[in-house]
Amino acid sequence: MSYVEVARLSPAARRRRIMRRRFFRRPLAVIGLFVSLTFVTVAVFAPLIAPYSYKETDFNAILAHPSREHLFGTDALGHDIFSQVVYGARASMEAGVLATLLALAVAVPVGLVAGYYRGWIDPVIARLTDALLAFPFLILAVGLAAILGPSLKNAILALGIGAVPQLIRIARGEALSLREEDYVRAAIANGASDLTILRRHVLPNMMSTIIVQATLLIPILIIGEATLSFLGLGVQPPATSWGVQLRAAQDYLFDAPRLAIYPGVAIVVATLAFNLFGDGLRDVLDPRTQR
Amino acid sequence: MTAPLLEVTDLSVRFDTDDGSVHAVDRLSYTLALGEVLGLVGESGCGKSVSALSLLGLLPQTATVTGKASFDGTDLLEVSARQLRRIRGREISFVFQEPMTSLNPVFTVGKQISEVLRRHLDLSSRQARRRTIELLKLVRIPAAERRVEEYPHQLSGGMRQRVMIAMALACDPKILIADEPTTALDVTIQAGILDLMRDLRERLGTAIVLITHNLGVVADIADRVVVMYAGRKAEEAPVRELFANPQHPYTIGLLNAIPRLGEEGNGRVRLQEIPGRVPSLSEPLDHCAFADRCPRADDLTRSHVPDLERVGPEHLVACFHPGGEWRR
Amino acid sequence: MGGFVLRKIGAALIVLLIASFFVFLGIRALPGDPAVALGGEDRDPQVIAQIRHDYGLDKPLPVQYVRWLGHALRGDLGEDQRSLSVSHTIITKLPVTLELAGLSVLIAILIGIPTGVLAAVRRGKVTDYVSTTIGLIGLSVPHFWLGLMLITVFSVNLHWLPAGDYVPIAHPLSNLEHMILPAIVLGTGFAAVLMRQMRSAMLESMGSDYVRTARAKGLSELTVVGWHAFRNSLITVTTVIGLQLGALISGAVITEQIFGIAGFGRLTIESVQQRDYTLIQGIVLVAAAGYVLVNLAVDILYSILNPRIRVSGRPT
Repeated sequence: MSYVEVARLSPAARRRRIMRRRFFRRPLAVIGLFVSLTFVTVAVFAPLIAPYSYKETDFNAILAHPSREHLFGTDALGHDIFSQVVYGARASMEAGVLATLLALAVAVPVGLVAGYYRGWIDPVIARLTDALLAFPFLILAVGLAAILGPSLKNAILALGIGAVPQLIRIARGEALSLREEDYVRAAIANGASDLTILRRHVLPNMMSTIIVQATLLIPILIIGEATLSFLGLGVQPPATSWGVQLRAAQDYLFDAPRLAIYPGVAIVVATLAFNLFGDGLRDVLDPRTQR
Repeated sequence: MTAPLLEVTDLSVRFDTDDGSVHAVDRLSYTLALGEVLGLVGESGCGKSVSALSLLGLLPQTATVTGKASFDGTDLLEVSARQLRRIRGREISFVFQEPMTSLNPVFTVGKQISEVLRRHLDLSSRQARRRTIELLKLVRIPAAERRVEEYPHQLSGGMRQRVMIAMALACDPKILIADEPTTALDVTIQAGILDLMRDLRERLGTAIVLITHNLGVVADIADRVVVMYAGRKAEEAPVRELFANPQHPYTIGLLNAIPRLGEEGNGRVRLQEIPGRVPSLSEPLDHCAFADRCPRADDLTRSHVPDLERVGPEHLVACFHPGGEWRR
Repeated sequence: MGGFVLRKIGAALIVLLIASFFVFLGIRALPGDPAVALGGEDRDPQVIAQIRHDYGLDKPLPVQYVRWLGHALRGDLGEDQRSLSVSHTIITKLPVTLELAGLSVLIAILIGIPTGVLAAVRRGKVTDYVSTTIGLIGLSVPHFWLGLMLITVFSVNLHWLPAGDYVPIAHPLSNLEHMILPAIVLGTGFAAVLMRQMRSAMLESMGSDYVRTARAKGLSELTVVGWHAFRNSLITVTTVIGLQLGALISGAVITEQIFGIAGFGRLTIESVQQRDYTLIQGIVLVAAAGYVLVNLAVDILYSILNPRIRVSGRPT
């Protein structure tokens, strides 16, 4: 675009252009984005991609080595490992994304109210959040999973709730500092209603931080789901997830370590991808970090 | 005529950032004699700070510096890192604009001054401490013995700036570069700092490059003035000459913009501002940088770069239409 | 500084109180009659009624809470399913985990901090990219997988190190042999976080005005970076360390499980799997209390390192 054309774009559009350009200059972040999208796609289209159903067993080929029929080999019950990994992506992506959304849905409004309104509600929320933060994330998730009972749904619930306190703290911090911004004060002085201010001024400006945090939360929750399933507290067989596969792989570490390697690598790559993407996003959206 | 202490020739600085290049300084040249006070004047963004920082190699990685800066026989821009470190703080010192952020918050004020002494003069810690207290007294900080142990956040803005000056003068440098030393301070404190600098200059004979956007400060203390605009030198003259006989429309504009009390007439005269803004410099301009805001602009100024021309003894201007009246 | 510390202690106590309340509620929130759960196999109504009376379950909730809290403060956390004292069980298992945590923190500091500084100093160059990427990988690797992989490589294939169990510290060499792999597993994630935080803190301080002043004074690059910049970064990083210790405890849970170490972490899992609610309650309470105390210690450390607080008692 020529200078003149760029100048004609609205300021918001121009900012998006700049951010997009900055983002695509970072190779690692771009790789992260594409790999993440790949995993999401695999998760969504799992039945189309996996050559076998995850429940399908072939008792003639137990613990088989990788071959043309079984790309990654088979496990102790004859499941095709490649298909397992593909289907496993579903549970992990679901857990990661849904739990994050759940946490956001709860934490952002609460944090917003606490940070913006202050008054008596803020100290209360702050203390409660601090108390929740006193519980190490996993212990909280494990405890919740124990109370709720093991299943993917409950694992998502537990993980989401576990992530809420930290997000509340962040949302509250943002709302707190944005409240002191001149344009917010001007809006208050002009008699704008609280709802309008929150909607027009505070929330949009918080968005970039929140988005970055959410993107960085997904990999944590993916690992969280894997951990819970590994401990038997999440996805239950015959449903599968990477954590479940790793749990089963433990017994065969000596004979067939590949049972643990493939799902593990999948976790690492997926997590790494989201982390790279989130990192790149943060570099681009946060005006304070220099390149 | 003796050789100048510092001779800057065709200094240019370019920054390369994610969003493009900025040509902050374009072929700036000036000299500084022993014991002289040179005022480097211009608006924010005109490149005056950048040009000074480039002399000591204090610009970030994104900067490319070309030209020559001859100090005492060596070219500062070509010198090795080791030699540069020996010059910094010892031969040429810098006083920064923001005393709060320019002092390390986790070390005592005394430590930060002693550091320079021990590094360059190889003093023992006790000698350094003694000299530090002397320096604090020199810059007129009361209760120096107590202040030595205090942290920057415990001192007021004015005192912090004095500490910066003490730190800069610790090794008795030949040149002191002061970048807007009073801008971040209250007006009442400013006078004190300027007073101090004038006093120190007389006592120690240090040459000073005083960077400021405030012509009033310049009138107070400078011997000669260089006026910069958009990275280029617009005018240069001894201070009295500049105030009496400004030639460049920008200089005139600056002088006119100084608010004055007790005007003739009804005492209500409108502040004269210079319309327009400093251009952002992604390319070095091929015409007069001031053309967009200049009342004397014409086709010539919009298509060619004016060269520096001599209009009086030691008085240079880069303008196609120099001269003119200005309201006193 | 005194005021700052006192305020932090006060806040910590409040947080602990609220946390204990959550723990108490959490267990009460379980479906079913706690008396029945506590009774275990015995379904005799008279026994259950007795249990209910003994445990004060027939009293109103706030009273129960106060009673429970009172016991807890005296060190009595009740008895688990096997009628063993919960506090005793926890106290015997805790040192193991503490040793593991200590080793991990040591490894994390020894690896994370220098690497972070190096990456910042050589920013943009190969060293930086490599370190940052390795750091990111370290963050992305789940503890249990890393544990499994290390076991596979070092125990199964190379037979260098044992695969599990724990040898008490009375036999230091053997103890170390057994602890080194789990410590590496736990320490890796922490090291990665430390490295990133150190790097970003260093980048920020290296770009600050006071570092520019230090350079302008002609100080050596080593002094500028290693002393002026580093000292400031340390302050920023300290606050992060406190937050990370919670993750360390979480990681210990799984690491102990994989390496077969009978510590606090594995106790957590066992208690959950056995649905031993009294034990769970005690564990979660101790974990929370420990975390709060450690954070308090970190806050105190922070106030020592930061002269703005040490001298005037208020940040800034």
